[in-house]
Amino acid sequence: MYKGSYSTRMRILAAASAMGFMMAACSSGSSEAENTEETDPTTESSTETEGTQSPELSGDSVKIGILFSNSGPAGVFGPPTANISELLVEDINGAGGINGRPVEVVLADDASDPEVGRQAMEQLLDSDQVDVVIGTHSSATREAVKPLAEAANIPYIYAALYEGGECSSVMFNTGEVPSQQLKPTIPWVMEQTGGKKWFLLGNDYAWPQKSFELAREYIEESGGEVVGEQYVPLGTEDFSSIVQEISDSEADLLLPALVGGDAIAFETQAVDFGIGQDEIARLANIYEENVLAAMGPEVTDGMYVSLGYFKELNNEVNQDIVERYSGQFDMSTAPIATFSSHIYDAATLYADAANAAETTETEAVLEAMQGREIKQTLNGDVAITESRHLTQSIHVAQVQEDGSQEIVETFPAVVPEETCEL
Amino acid sequence: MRLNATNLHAGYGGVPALHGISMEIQSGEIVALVGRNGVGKTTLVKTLMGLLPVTDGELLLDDQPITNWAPSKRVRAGLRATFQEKGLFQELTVGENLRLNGFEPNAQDAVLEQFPKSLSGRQSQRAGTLSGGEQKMLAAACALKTDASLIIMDEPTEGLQPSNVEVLGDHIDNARSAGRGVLLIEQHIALANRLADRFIVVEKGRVVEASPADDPTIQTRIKKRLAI
Amino acid sequence: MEALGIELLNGLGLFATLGIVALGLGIVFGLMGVINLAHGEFVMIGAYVAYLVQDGGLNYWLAIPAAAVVLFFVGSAVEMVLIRRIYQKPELTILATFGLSIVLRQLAEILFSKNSRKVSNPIPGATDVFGITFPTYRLVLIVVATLIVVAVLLLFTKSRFGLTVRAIVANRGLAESSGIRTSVANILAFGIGAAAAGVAGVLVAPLVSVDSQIGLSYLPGAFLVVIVGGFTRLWGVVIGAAIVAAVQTGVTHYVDAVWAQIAALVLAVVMLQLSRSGSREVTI
Repeated sequence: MYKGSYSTRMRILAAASAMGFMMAACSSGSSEAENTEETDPTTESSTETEGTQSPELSGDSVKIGILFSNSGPAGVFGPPTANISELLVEDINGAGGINGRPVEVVLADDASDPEVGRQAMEQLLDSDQVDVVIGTHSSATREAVKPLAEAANIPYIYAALYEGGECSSVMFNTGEVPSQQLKPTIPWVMEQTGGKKWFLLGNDYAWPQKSFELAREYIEESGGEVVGEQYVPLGTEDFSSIVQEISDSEADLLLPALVGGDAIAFETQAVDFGIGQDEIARLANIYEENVLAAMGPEVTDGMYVSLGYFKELNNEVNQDIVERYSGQFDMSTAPIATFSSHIYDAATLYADAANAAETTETEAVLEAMQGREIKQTLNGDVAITESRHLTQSIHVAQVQEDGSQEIVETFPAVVPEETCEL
Repeated sequence: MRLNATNLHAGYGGVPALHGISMEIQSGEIVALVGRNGVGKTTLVKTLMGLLPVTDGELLLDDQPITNWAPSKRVRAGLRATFQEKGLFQELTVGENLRLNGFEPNAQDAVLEQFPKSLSGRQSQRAGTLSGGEQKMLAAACALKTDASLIIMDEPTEGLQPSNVEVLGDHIDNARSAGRGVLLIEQHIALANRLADRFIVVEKGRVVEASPADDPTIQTRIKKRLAI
Repeated sequence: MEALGIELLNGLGLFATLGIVALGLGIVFGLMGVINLAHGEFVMIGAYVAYLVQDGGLNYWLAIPAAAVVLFFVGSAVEMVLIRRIYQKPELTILATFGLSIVLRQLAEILFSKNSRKVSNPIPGATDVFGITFPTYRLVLIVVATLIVVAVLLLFTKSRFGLTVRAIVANRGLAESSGIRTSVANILAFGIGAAAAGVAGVLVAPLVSVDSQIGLSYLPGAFLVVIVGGFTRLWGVVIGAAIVAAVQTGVTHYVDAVWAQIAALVLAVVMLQLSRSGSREVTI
């Protein structure tokens, strides 16, 4: 016979709600790292590739570990990453592998959760014995797994766009940093639109905060003005008060550093309240393909997006990949976008450096990575800087009426303003 | 209708309180079950109703096994009980309590006109605010005025004024006349003597005496067992 | 003055959303004592029902009855398969519903992929309310959500079914002994709680990203409302939603959204501490 006393229920409730908040904050996914050797198509394809590979490939394969988010809030970036890793295996092996050895990819899912990421990294390093780890995941996961890569002395290429500032002897950071995404594009957008008054709206964590800190400088240097800056917790569903504040600020330009569902909810509600792109022009630094598609063309028409990669880039390497990708995978639901393209490019960089070093031995590869310039990335010419980041072209795409993206401006060879003294 | 208990074992949280009770009650008779405090009378009521699981033994209702039936299913088959404590929904009103026992608002006046008369017109009062005696009478009415064939009453007169004991006795007697059976668990030996067709005496979770009321020695044996 | 009016409407919108999202949780937790960590996923299923209805070329509003029916059966099934045997063990219900929430999210990803689905605003545009321009859909949402919350509250307080449920809450054993099939009433109550969550999902779908993660965003808010409102009465959901909406809107307006969330959390902690001192029986 259940007879609930109020206080007992309160205690249970306290525990349960703590758990609920925890769930929302960390957002549970599968708690086990996904070792794709049994289940993922990647391994299959690498075996396939081995069957048809050039005869000169021999020896044990070089293992490239890819740590990415395939579940949880950032899980939407997962499928394109898994897909493109098949192509990168084909391409590296087709070009002679690494020092004559075939490459193989091992995928590991961090479930958008640093603790799961740490376990996944342990598995990559200890069980799978990978030669290099390439990661596109949150900064929180990066902080959790970096010490493991350092302890194992395995090269770790962090390929996601992020807030900058990373400096470790085993690491290279090839994603876009704010000085690349925003410094050239802020004055450009002001010139295009004639707007001067900016509102900065971001999720409440390091990347938007650091981005906005720098954005303020760039805006002021360009003669603009920041009329409002707001952060919302991750997982915010109701933006009515924020929208009101933006409207009241009389801003004419908006820098929205919102991720995933928050971005979609915000933009949808902003249009309802009459402050869509037509009223306040957006310069977005993380609205990538999936997110824009989910918002729908009536919401996104005219928005500017600043990133190091768009699938519309017309260099040969990218056009070839896009064509093959479209043939094998569904470009409409899992399009190649900035995160997945960076995985491909980081692997290309690693293969190039290991071939130059004629070994996969960590010290030699890291040495060869330093200052490395290559041309065959999806984003054309890139170069590793002394600060262990990547000089790369930054593109501004404008979303068209039909939802497609058109590259309207390219800033070639933008140098990341980072320092790294080891 | 006939309820048979055979070798019934039951208890709370692994501590047995019934050690193999066998007994029977059927329509048209009043059986008085007596025993000292703590011999397992209330446990028996809960077990017969299905509120406590049977650990061993069997319950038959008209030869059909009901050992694993939910209480509500037993009620719908014609079995009812009133409880020694908390026999009403304290937070609900008199009217709501009656309604939950199948008396829609338009039928409630008819019940309260018979008994407990003092509650007539007080349907909106919360049951928890009634006096102990009123609560007892209302709970008894809720059971006796239904069309249940067998009614188990656990200490229905406890705390009642003598006049109310008489009234309640009349209603129990009427139920028998209407062809219904009552298992009366009673400390009030005078009422039991007035009404009972048979006596059952329970001690330490077992039946120790069972006799018709017209057995000339039964009174002496009960007095001896109860040490009164 | 106009700004205040808009914030009032914003607050009402949040109040209506929170109220309908928390309603099902209030029924299932407040009345039945089950902590349902899959409540957010019931909201998610409702949002996907809205997507399917619209994607199938049907009128958006059909999604409300459709989601109510679908979720009623989902909730009933969950009660029968998962919850029934573990009412007396709160820690097990937490684990079971936590597991269920993971399964439902995975199912959503399998069926709908990880990509966000778009549910179009069924009534785009804005309406003038006392000189304030406000999105029409939000106004309708306020009215529809309020009507549904009130209807469900009336069902639980005024109907025969509601009386039955209150009897079970008051004394399950006595309810059974009065002939009430408590197992059936549990199924119905759980089903109705889930149906309310499903309707909430339909109503919020045009405002947010419809994806497998949506439930995780709504679950903490729903718990906040239930805690702040106190769950000794189902009407507490309304009170809780009003307080949380007022605090969140006010603090967002005067400070910012991050402090608004902190303030709401602090409020919940204070409510927990305050009510821990008293031990009261649960009623409606």
